[in-house]
Amino acid sequence: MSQHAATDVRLHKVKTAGERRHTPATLVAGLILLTILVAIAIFAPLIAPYNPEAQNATALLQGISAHHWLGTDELGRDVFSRLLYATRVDLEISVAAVAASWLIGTSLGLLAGYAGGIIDAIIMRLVDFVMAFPFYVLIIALVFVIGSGFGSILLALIVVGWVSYARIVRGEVRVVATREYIAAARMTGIRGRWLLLRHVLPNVVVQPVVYAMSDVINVILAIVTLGFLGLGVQPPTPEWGLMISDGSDFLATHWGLATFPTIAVVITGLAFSLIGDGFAELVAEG
Amino acid sequence: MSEYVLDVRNLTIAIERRGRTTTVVRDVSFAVRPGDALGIVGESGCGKSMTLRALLGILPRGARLTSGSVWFEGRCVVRDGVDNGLAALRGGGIGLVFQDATSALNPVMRIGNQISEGLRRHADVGRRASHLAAVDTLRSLGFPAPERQQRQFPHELSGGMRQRAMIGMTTSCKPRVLLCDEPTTALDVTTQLRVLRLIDSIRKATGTALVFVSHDLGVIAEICSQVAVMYQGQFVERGPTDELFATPMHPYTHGLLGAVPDIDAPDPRLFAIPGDGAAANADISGCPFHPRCPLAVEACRSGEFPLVTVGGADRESACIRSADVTGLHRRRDEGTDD
Amino acid sequence: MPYGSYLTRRLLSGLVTLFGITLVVFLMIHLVPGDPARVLLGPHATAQEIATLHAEWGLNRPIWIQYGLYVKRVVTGNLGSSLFYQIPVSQLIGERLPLTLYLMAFSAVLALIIALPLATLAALRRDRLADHIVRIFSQIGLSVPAVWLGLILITLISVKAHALPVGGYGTGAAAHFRSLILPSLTIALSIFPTLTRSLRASLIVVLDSDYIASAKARGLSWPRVVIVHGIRNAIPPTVTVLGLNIGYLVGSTVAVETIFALPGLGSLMIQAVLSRDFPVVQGVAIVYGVLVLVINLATDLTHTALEPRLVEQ
Repeated sequence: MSQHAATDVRLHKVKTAGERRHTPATLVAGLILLTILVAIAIFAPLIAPYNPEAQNATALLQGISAHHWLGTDELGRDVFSRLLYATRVDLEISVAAVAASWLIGTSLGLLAGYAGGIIDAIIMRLVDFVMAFPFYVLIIALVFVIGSGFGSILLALIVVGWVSYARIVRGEVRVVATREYIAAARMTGIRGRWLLLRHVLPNVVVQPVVYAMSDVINVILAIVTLGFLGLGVQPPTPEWGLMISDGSDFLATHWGLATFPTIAVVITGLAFSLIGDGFAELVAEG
Repeated sequence: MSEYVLDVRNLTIAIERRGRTTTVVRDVSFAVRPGDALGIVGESGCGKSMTLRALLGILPRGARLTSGSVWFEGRCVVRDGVDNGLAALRGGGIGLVFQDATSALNPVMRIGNQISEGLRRHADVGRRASHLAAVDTLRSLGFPAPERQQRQFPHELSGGMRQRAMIGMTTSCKPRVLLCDEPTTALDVTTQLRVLRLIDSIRKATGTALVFVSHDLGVIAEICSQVAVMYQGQFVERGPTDELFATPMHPYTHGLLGAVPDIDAPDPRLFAIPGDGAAANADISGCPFHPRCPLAVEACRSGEFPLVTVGGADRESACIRSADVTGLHRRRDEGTDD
Repeated sequence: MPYGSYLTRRLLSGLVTLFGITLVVFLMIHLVPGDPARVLLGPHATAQEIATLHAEWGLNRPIWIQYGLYVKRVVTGNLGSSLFYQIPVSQLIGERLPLTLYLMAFSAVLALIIALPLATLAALRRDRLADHIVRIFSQIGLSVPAVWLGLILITLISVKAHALPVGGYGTGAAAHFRSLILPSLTIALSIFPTLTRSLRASLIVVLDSDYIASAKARGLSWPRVVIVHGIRNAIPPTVTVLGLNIGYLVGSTVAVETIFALPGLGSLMIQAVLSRDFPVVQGVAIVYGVLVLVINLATDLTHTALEPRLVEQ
């Protein structure tokens, strides 16, 4: 984090050939993985061999075979197809929730940090109130009030999710606002202010993005857990949490039913982790 | 049996960073007898701290002893850059007083405990006895209220007291050799003098050998009878302090001394050695000082320049033109620019 | 005394948050469509009961008066009556709270037991194989759903090996302990990655510092240097991280209690949500809010106690 902004500006230009920024391997790996997942989500209808909701009473609880690559569940549905469609559902909700939270949180954080005074106080108090509750408890309470299902948990996640971003961004803005170089920038005139903005904005935007990458994992886990508990996405829509719940009765015999969706969650989490780490490495100033 | 308590020969230290290896200390040798006080003087970054740290095996990440040997009381503890018992000497055999007492003291531990733990380790005393001894140590260091103060945390003490507490921590292990890494740099002048007197009195009272590193010539002159001048990881001159400071026999030493502002000098301008010494470029062949040296000739550009005896039996210099250094001295005194 | 004024400030701040908690929970009922009284009393309420509640709660009076009455009720311990169990909510919570607290404490301790050695190993063998293994392991641990972990543990250890109970709480302290092992382990495995990451990071910074070099230089034994000087200095920031993640720790009890059929606060909440038992949902939400508040206060105070330098500020 830049402690001495003025010197940092100079450092940017003095990077020698040996220290030229290279794209971290983790970032590349993560992006590739994510692209594959997003592709799966988008093209699920084309890739999936079966209708994920189609039940087949003659093919219950089958193991891995040529017909059903990952077997079938207790209602005869093809696990592979369900997995593909569930990827779509979980990714849609989580990405939408995090993106909206990021947007709302960053805006409010900017407002609070920049405006200061009563606006800052109100927004931060609001943040405190939301953060006073454990994450899951608040979401569940909201779901209770609004009802369950795709749209409801998306709304609940956003209502609870924006606070972290607001806090981070507001913190970044406050750090900048109290620096001496603001006064110095004002003295150097418009060019100074432009330089300031060029320096403030990157930091303010970068931190919440890095956080967003780790936030997605938590959001996905929340969606999965809610689905498992029956409070999230409702059946028959395929969703990882619902698949784990359905498969929980058969862990001793057909462990795949609950484990394949878990593996999907882990891989997705890994992808975002890699991106987050890689991105942080990319923007770190040595 | 050797008369030297510490004998260092041809110490070479290299640092590896981002795949590139740089030699920061090259072929350094010195030896001290019990009660001796050797000063090592040089600019920041010349490698003097590294030398001390190597003797305790606490070099920073990436730094390694590549060659050289160390004898302690006649026994070889480092052979060819490899540890052969050096680690066992830490604290009890060789001690190190750090430069910045603020960062070298554990911030969450009371100073009494930090002293007593060394005692328990080296003097084989129990908890109770060690705490009493710690209070005694503080008293002997000049703390006015040792029983109360031993319960304090480092941040509650003044700079001078912190430094004295650190000295106490180190000396309570009763080392035979005390290495000091610029222990007075962070202190104001009055406190500096007090701490120096303290170190000197410890040396006289216990017969500990002292190796004192500093960039401050005045400090070295205060308590060291012998001094070695270091430049870019190599010794360039060595000899008794008074003589060396009066008649330097290396252009760098001459430059260092000349850079000390003299209020009585006829020429009021500040003198600085031309060129930039901070860029440690071990790839320079020949004498490391030749790019900035006023006496440099063709022969200085290549070859090795070890210390050789010049003048009296106790004087050594690495300069091949050491005899001409006195000429520099005269020229500057007459106000002529070099 | 500086510590005293810090304490006072934190308590006051906590009090304000407490009010905020009650406000949020209070507003919940007004977000549900329909007559609040009907929602609270359920579909089988008589007109008489509804009228009584209207009067008691002042449901036809301005909202801030309603809020005032609500706060008064909460403060006196009146959290309403459970529609499902037909007993006071406060009593229900009182029966179930201890279990959740034990579960949380047990999980936190287990998480630290797992995280400490791993983080120390990773910090000491920085950038070498052991470090990478620990970090990958942590990374995976972060993404694994706790629900699946719990189920797998039950399947492998309880069902297949019959080593520990499948679920329930049992009677007597010994049975309680045995039934909390797997659930605590599940939660611990979910939160140890963040702890490990934070501890490793602060250990690396600490191990590079001069006082560690000084301790080494004085010949102190390596274990003493790492533990007394190293870890001791690296723990305070981790305590803060633990505190920040408390919300998560508390929240994971909800799902885990359900899987392991533990009669705690979390499973109560799920059950109440599924059966539309509004008073219970409200009551549990408040208790959880207070719990997080108390725990945050405790971690803040612990951190300050461990870091003598902070007290001056």
